[in-house]
Amino acid sequence: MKIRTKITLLTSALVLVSLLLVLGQYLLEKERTSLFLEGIKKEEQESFNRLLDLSGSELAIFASDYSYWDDMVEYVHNPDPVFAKENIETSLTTFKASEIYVYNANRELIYGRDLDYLAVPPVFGEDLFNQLYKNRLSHFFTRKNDTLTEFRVATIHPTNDPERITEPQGLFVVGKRWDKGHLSILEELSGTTIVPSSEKAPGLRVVSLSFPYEVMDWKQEIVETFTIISSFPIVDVVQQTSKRQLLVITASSLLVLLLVYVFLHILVGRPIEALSRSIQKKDYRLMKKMQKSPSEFGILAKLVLDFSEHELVLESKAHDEAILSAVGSGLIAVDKEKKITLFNMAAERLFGITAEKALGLRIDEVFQAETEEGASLAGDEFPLTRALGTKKLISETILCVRPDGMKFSAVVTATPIVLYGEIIGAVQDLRDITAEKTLERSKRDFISLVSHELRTPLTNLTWTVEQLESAKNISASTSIPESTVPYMRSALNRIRTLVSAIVDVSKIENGSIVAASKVLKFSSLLALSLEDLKLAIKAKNLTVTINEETSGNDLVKSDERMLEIIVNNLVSNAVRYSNENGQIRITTRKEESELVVGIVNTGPGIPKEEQTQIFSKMFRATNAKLLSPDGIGLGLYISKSFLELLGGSISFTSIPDQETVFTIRLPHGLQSSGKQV
Amino acid sequence: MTKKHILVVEDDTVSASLLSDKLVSAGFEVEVAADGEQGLEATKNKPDLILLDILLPKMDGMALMKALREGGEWGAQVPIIITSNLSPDDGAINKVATYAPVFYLMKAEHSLDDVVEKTKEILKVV
Repeated sequence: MKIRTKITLLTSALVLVSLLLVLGQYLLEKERTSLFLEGIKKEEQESFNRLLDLSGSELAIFASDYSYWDDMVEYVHNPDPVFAKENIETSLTTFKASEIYVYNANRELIYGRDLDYLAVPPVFGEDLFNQLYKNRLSHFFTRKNDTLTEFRVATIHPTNDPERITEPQGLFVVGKRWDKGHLSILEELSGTTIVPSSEKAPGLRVVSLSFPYEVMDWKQEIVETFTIISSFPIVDVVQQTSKRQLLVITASSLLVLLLVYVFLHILVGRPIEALSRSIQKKDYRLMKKMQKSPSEFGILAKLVLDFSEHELVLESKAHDEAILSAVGSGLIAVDKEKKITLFNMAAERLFGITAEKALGLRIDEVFQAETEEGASLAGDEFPLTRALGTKKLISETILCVRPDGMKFSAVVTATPIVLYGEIIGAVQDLRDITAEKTLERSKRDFISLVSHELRTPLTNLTWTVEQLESAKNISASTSIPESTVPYMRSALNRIRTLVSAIVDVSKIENGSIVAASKVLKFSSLLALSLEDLKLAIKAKNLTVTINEETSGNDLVKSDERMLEIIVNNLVSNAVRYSNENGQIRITTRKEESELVVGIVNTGPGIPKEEQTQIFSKMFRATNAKLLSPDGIGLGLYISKSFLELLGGSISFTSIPDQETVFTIRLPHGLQSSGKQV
Repeated sequence: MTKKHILVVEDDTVSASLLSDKLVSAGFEVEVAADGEQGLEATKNKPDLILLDILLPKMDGMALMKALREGGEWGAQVPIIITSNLSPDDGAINKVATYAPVFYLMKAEHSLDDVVEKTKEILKVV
């Protein structure tokens, strides 16, 4: 769940809880008020009743006091207007009655009037009269039109009969009208509002309680029901105050919550959310803005930026290092202090020193350098250190001298590393061009040797022809010198051999040579070869011996031309590199399915340190060059290549200044399952 | 008039014979040496001119010439004609000018007559 959602949920929950608390408090308060009202309702009712009793008691006393009085009995029997005026009429105001009526025993009205002198005596029926007489003292209400009147009626008796035991002499009726004036007096006295049934109860804004007050007629039937309303302003004030307090508490707590929400949402939730979103999307613009803020978010944003930059740097560094170590040419980088900071795998290979050892060293502590002409370079003349000083890209060929003394030619491209316009180091790419140089040199040597080798017999031919021509010019009869023909043959042979050798080498190299398979007699080939070399053998006075241990079975399965070339090369080498008066011994023997031929000669031999290269193309041993400067070093190379194609092999042993033995093995001609090519 | 004495240092027997025969018939006295060592030995006879091949057994022409030039007054000034089939730009002979007086003749490009003429020219023989 996101932080902003959490904040929203938390504050919502807090709002809900506080609202519930306020509501609970409100309901509790209301309940308490209604209990309070319930408690005092009966009390109020009773006190209202007592008040009515009290207010009515005056009238009741008036009625009962005036009715057991001898003067009244006298008046009933003999109505004296003076008595009526002095005693009854004055009482009307004294007792605050509305009307007074006096009846005699015959139920005849003998006095009747009200405050307004407008009395219309109530019509009492027989039943009522009977009841009134029976009751002695009566209290009831009547309604005539809208006028409600309370009546107090007492039977008239002599003064000595307060118990009204004697026969009633008449009726004393006192009435009091419950008009608006009376009601307002009652209201004032009771502190209530009295609402007649004909009126609508007023809407009250204060705490109040109401109860009905019923008035009955003489038959105990309800003639009017008042609603009595008691108000409790203090309670109301208390209630209103507590309501207000609740409201204030609610409002302020809501306000506080709102502020907390806004604070958390805007000042905490939003930045965190923005931060996490930009981290997620790797959108660093916002963080760059945020990092300027002095708050913790600024610090956080800065931290994230630093970390991500660090990550990026590490990532790209790892990437670069992988690329740099994989490149084929040697890469070396140095810092401002010329200390090595990068030394890739190719550099390790080139200089024969591990990166671990090279790092931190100065470049001239790892290797020495020379110009192409061989002049040694000082540490600050190295292309790399010059690139550091001159801010230029430098590309040149130098000769590198490894810690072990080995040298190699290299093309070096050095370039400064510039950061914010300042050189912080330099890097050089170093490519070993030894192989290219060797190839170039060998090509040059080859051309030079071949052209020299061809020119020599050509010279001999040219000169011989020149001699022939001049001889003919002098005289047709002059005999051609004896030596001319062998000279020409020898020259042509040399040319032919050389051209064949070059063609063979090129065929060997592009794999286009095909060996035939024919059964040949080795001794015949050998004899031909020796015949060709007869002159040379004779010139050096060599002794040639042939030891055949094959019982005449020296057949080989081979390619005639190729084998001829092999035998020629080996035998002519033996002749060429023999000392004068030396010996050549040729042995043939059968070994399992092979014919093994050994060609031995005495002579300087092959120097030990050069023996591994003897079959290389264009290689000539140093002593061979000295002994016989002619030759281009193809004979043994061709022989070995041919023998491999023919399913044979060649090896040698050479003891310098004693003897050299070349041994070739060829598939035997009688072996049906012999190796064939 | 005594015959001029020419030393031919040439390992190729055919070339040596042809040169020698031609020079003899042109009226020179000729001595032939088949390798560098023999050649150097033969200079003790103080020939008037040396025809010198470069690629020679035992001691090459350049070494022989160096030994001569640095070996004494006579050796320093005896005229030498290099007769070789090496190209003039070949590494083996590109220092040849150091050892003047010296002339260079590529055998394949010159006839025997040319060699004789050059020899006569140098020795001022008519």
